[in-house]
Amino acid sequence: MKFWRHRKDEELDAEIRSHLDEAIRDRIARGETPDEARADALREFGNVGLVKEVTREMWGWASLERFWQDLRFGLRMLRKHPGFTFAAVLLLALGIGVNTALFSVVDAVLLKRLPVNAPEQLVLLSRNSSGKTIDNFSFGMYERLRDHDRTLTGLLAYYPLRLTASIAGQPEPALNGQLVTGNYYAVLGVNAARGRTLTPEDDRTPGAHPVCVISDGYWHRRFGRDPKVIGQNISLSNQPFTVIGVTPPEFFGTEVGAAMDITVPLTMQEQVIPGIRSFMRGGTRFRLLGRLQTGATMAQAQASLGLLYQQYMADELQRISTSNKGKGPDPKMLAERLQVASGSQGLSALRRQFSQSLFVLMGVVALVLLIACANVAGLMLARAVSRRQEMAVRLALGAARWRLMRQLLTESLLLAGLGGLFGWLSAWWGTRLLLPWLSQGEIPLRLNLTPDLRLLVFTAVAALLTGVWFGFAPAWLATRVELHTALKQDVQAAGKHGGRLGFGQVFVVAQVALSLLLLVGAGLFVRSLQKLQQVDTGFARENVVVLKLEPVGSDGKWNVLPQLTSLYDELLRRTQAFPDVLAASLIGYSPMSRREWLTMGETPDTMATISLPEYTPSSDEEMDVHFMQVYPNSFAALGVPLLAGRDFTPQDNDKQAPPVAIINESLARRFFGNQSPIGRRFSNRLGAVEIIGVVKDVKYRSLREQERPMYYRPFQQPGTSRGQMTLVVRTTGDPLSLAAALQREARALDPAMPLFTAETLAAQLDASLAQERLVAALSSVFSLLALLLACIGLYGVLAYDVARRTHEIGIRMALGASSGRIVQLVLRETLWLMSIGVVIGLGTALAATRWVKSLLFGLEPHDPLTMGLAVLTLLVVAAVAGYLPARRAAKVDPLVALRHE
Amino acid sequence: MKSYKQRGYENRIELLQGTLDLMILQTLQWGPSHGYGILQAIRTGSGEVLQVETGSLYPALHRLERKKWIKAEWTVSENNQKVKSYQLTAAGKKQLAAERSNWERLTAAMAGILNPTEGPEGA
Repeated sequence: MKFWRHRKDEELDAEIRSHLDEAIRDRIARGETPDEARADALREFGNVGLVKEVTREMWGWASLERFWQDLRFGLRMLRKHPGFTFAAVLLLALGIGVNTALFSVVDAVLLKRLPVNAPEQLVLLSRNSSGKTIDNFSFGMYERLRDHDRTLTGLLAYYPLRLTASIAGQPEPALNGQLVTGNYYAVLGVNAARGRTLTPEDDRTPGAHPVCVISDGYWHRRFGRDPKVIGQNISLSNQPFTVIGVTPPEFFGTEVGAAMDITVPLTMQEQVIPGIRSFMRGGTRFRLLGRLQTGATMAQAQASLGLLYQQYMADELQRISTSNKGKGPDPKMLAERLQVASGSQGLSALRRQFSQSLFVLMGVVALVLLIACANVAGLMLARAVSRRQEMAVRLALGAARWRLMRQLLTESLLLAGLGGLFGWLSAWWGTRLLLPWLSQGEIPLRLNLTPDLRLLVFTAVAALLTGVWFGFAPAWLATRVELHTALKQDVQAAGKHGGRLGFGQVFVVAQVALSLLLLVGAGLFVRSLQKLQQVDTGFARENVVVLKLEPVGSDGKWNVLPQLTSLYDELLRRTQAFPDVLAASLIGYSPMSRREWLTMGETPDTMATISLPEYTPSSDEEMDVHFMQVYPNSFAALGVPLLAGRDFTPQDNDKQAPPVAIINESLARRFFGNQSPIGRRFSNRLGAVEIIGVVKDVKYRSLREQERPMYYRPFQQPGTSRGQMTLVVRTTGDPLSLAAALQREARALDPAMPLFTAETLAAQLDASLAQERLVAALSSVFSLLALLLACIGLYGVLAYDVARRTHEIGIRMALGASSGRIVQLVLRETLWLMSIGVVIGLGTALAATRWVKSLLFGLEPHDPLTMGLAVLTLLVVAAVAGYLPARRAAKVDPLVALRHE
Repeated sequence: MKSYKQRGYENRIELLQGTLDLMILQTLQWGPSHGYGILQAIRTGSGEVLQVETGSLYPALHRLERKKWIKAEWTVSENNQKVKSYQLTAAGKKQLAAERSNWERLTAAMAGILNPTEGPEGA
């Protein structure tokens, strides 16, 4: 632009020169001498500089020109006061930096991560069978719905499973895999980031398409983003599969909480899970997602699909009753109903769970920025007051007030711009600091954090708003000058205003209120975390190692029972042989393995409807309770106290043995009250079960969960086909070295088994609190930062006040006021400002903490202890900040002070 | 901050703007011309009555150029001198027609006021 401007200037010069030349030539032609002609032409033309000036105004750049002027002047002013500039830029960079850092995470988690095309069109299918929601379908059901429905543009089926992989002959850690129909990626609208995705062509002939698509996460983790991965072989269950594509980083699969590693065509099921009969011929395993036609509503899809489903069930009933005369059809079948729910919700449940903490943190850092702004505004104000004379002089010389305000605002914007720039740079570093925190726990967070335009816009807007916010009041105040007084009086006197709260005080009060709000918030989060950590989980946290076991084929327990049993028995035998092992056993799911519990849902593998002979439930009473299959000795291994009766014995763990169960405290309390449940019975779908023991309640899913009824069965007894178990070992030795040894043993026993990492229960528990810890830690850090800023602000205002009142203090002391009295005088102002700030802050906190209620645990949003502690902290720190200037005031030498003027 | 003199110019620009624009456009109707040429044309055209100052002319020319009513070009004058020559654009011609009819209505109205042929009651 400058260059352009330069050229236009030259052109104007040339134009004027040619004008003069023409005029001179004319005059010479009329008979004037060249010298006369030149002088006359120049006189006639007028003031060349002025003509240029007024002509330039027509270019429409005048305001820009003035802006440049302001900017240059502003830069000069900032250079002249490096201390002030440094402090202000630092404060702003800090405020803007934390905001940008957190926003980039929010952006990545909530805004950027729309994993599929138009998620609002997706619908999730489930079926309702006598009040229970089941989201698994058989392939036959899928085919019928897919082929006959007209409200969907496509319907996909997928089946998540664990895969045993090896690459170049070397075994790999277990992979999260899925079998999908060929239209999977087309229906979701996900394109490959590299290579190609699966197409229906890849899913035609069973056994003929050994190809797979891997996720960005797996590509990164295993192949280090090597572009040559396309075409490489990965062996799944010893069958080579060719990698044909990599999905984009933001696509994690459709399962909530699970991060998919590898996707294989459904027709390759028998290669991936050898020895199991084709999924396409039986069993209800598939989850179905469809995409609505444009214009079709969910209700229309519900009507169409619901009808097709009922027809299918009627046909099935017909087929069963004609082919199988012995067994009557299950009357429940006809009562089943198909349900259509929004698929985008299903896809984003986890994100929403995460999003709340992020929003809270976003609010926290926004408050930090506000405090930083108030702080800088205080600094600007002090400087504005000291610049009153300059302003007065300029106003007296005829400068318009708005022009001066614009000048001052330009300076604030300049500061904000610098703050924004440094904030942006520090955000880069801050995000990388933040990410490991966020990724703790079992939910892997793989974020695309490359700063993009949106982030830049965010920072720019933040900086701009900041600049206007902290710059306006000082600018307004600085230019509100009564000329004759300001010009006559010196700086000190000019800064004096009556007893009312000045702007500086207002900023301090605002900072106190805001930091109190942050302190209260941080206190609530920290105390919630403490309470969560103290929750009685029902199991021993320390010195317990868990290792997930998912042998190939364990999805169908009954098909592989002999192999499974011998594997598990042998593993237990070897584990018990380790020194330092107190107890070892197997349980269905380990506590706090969060992803497991999230993805598991309420399937027949974990829930059963029970009835009790002496108990008549009310009509709408929930009689579905959780159950878990365990090996004998599992309670000792987990450290769960047995409250009554006995544990399972190896004799119980037999399909032929009398059915027995151990119930938890909640179940006992609910159905048996104060009576002993030992020896009593309850029934599930398969018949009556005798209760042989009662154990303490255990929190399996999360530390926040309510106690709920639950029972345990010996591994061999329940009808579920789930065969995966988790090895639980309690040790007196080093849990980590034991973990490594256990992994090796498992590997040696069954080389085909997917390899999992053995973990301590303590680590799993810790991981389950990652989010809470993040919120507590960050809000603490930020509230302390806010407190520090508020104190600096308070100190600044008081110190300035003391300096301004040196003369007055001198008089007071000369008249006999003791230094103690002077200290009191200053502290009174501190107290006054603090109490206003505290009242406002507490009021705001009382109103605002409601919003974080769902993040709290074990305490109310209005927890008086937290509020009291926050106020106390604030008062103590503020007293220190106020005492320093007070002491300085007390040390004023009256003689010096009186001579001061 | 603007000096007194500068403000004086501005006032005159305001005063003259409408008519000056019209004069410039009208002058250029006869063909392209440069700043000095336009000045001379107005002076001789008005019988030496109107003296347009350069401090008014050049801002006006640059303003009209920005409004795209005229366009500028560096050419060589009859005196074999390099000059910035302005010429009317199509939009400028339209503007000229509009301003002319405005001006004619205004002068007719002025004439009506200055030389009343009939009293108000006679209408």
